Amino acid sequence: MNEVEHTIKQLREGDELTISSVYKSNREKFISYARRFDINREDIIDIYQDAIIALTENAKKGLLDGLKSEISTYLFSIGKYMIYNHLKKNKNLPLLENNIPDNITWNDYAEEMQDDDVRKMKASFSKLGEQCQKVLRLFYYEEKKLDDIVTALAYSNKDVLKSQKSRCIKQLKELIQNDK
Amino acid sequence: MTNKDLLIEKFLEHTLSAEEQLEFDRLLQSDAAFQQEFEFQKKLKASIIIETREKQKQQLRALEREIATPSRFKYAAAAAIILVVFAALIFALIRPDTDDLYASYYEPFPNLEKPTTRDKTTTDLPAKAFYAYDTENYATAAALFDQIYTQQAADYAILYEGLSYMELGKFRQAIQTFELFDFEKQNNYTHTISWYLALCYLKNQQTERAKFLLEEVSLSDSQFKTSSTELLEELN
Repeated sequence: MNEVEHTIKQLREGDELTISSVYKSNREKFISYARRFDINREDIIDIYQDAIIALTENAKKGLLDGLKSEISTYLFSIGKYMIYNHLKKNKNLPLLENNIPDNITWNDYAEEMQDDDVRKMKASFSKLGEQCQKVLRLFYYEEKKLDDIVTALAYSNKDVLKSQKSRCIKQLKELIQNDK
Repeated sequence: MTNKDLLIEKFLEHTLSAEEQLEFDRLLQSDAAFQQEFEFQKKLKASIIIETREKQKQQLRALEREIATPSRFKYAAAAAIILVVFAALIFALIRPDTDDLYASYYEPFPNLEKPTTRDKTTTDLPAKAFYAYDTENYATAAALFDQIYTQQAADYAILYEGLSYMELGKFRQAIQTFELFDFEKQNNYTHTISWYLALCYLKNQQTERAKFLLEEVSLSDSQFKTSSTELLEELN
């Protein structure tokens, strides 16, 4: 396993030290790249942080597996895409369609953030027990298949996990009801 | 777990077979309860993603604070800020006017791309655009270069569209246009666009941004190297 593969593995596992070292080692370069655009510093940092989050998400989804370039090149292509989106959003640029680079997925869920149901669900989700949060996060956020979650969380078999997941969703629905 | 729940689960796992996908689409069209459950699942997915990202964001913000202000420097930083504010105030009183500097450094950039033909009936879009540019019909030129950019994302279209806006005195639009350029690319346009973008920032009184770009150009071997170095000296 070479260095890049090792870093990708660590990112996939959500290793905080790796995330922080990737963050630190590309930060200056990204800021100075972004400085030529009409974006204030706070927004640059905000965009950079989103790019780091997208990097870890894509690593978890396996999209970085077999990556031919450096991690920093990948991170920059996400960041550049986000800068253009930011410029576009704030200025109604008469732009060419800003296509997302290959191998990268990113949905900013801007619309959903404004949705009342989503807000309530989010609040209820954080009240769930730790195990439920783990299971649901692996399934919905990391898009792991149930078989992989069985292994990751050491369940004895898939049925046990399935009934756990159903219980968690039932609990969540009750919490949402109580919040109304 | 019902068959319907299983379909939704497989949809979220991206493991629907072609046959199951058909059934899934059919139910989504015809079964209100299924549709409702699917909507719930989609929103649930969104809310968990948003929640998880917020948590990560908090961690990154904490990391950012750590990097940006190591605690023993905090007081020093506060003192430095006060000093900088005073210096900026004094500086503002004595520094040269950015409008004057712009006027003495800005020179129209010639059409180096395409010799203009006198044939007004040409249908070739680039030829039309450069004809408009050469005959100083800058509003038309800007619109035509914008079309070219939309069609083929050509770098020259960015340069000449931006230049047309500058000629029209529309500096905000010029900045927005130049920003479309991919500055990681190093080609014939990189430093020319940086130079004119710096002038726009200067005109807009965004001096710090202008200086940043001028520094880059002054280190390059571009035709604007000398001008950048001189302008930088005047700004400093």
